[in-house]
Amino acid sequence: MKYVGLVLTLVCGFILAPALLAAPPWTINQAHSRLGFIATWQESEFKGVFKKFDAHLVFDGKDLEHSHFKVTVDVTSADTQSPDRDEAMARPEWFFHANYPRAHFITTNIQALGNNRYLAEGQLTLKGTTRPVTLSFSWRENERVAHMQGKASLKRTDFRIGEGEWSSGEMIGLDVKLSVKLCLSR
Amino acid sequence: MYPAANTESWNGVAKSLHWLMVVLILALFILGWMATSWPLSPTKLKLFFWHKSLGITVLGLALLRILWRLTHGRPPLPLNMPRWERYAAEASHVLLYGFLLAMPLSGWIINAAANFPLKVFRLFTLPAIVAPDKALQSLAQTIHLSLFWIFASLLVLHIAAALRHHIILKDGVLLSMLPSLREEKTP
Repeated sequence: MKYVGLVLTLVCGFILAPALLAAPPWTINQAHSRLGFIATWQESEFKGVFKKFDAHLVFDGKDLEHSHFKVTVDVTSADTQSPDRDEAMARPEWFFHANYPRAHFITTNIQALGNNRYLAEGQLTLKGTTRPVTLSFSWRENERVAHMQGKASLKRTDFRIGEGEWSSGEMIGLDVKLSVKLCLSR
Repeated sequence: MYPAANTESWNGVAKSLHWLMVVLILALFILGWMATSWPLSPTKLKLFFWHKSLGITVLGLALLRILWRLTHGRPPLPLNMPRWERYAAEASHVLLYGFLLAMPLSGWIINAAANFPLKVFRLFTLPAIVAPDKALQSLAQTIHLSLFWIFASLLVLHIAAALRHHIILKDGVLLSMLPSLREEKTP
């Protein structure tokens, strides 16, 4: 029975050690953060934002190995300031809000590019499809506050966004740019 | 055949603009009607794209037309026309010019309020005339459609009046807007 204490200590140690070793996660200041996208409509750009998203971010520029992001986006919170278009986006041939209300982005590898710039490779799950997406970002940290600004781009048809007749990019372009601006604290 | 001596013809620019408008307005009506009734699809967007591009063309041509009319005047109306008819003709023409501006302008407001970008004929991006606004979009849609019905009624009156001049009054008013047959006859 005297080993129980030792076993417990070891088990707890194994569970807690990574958490203790890695830096604590950052908390998003929602009011000053933004997840946006730019798509094209008949060759003209239009902008939108996902009003609701959250992320579990562990980041330390000196410990990239233990740094990782897990972002969850409420796809139904998309707002392009156009009720007609937002309504169309909810349809099955577009984002299919009823079946796929959430998207996830999980980083698999983060590397430094120098000058506060980084490249995060990750897997984006959108509309039930998982594909690799690369996020390039800058990270500026000051004591307990950090600012992250990133960009990524994807092809909407890789995620079955705009199926059937819409899969030709003639009226609604295939390339979509994502932009993220986060204000963080810990 | 008709005593057209007292009626000068409209000049070539005015005639060209007039008949170009006829074609464009017909196309706009057909495209607008098709676009609104079409189910949501790339085809629907394409129909709207042509409707909007042609609409902006009409706006530009209407401005040109009004400018031309103001600087070049119009052929005199038949001398025997009663005063009320002259006023009615003047008023309906002013209204018609007004509709040529109001129709595309209200359409432009719908497009901007709905926050749809528009690259006219895929050539240049039209600036947004108003900020995105759902309530304004609905209002502009109601106005655009209402204006259309009044405009269409006025066009029926315009055509009826032109035919009356030609068939009943036989005064050459209609001929003055037709391609110049008389000029071809004169050596």
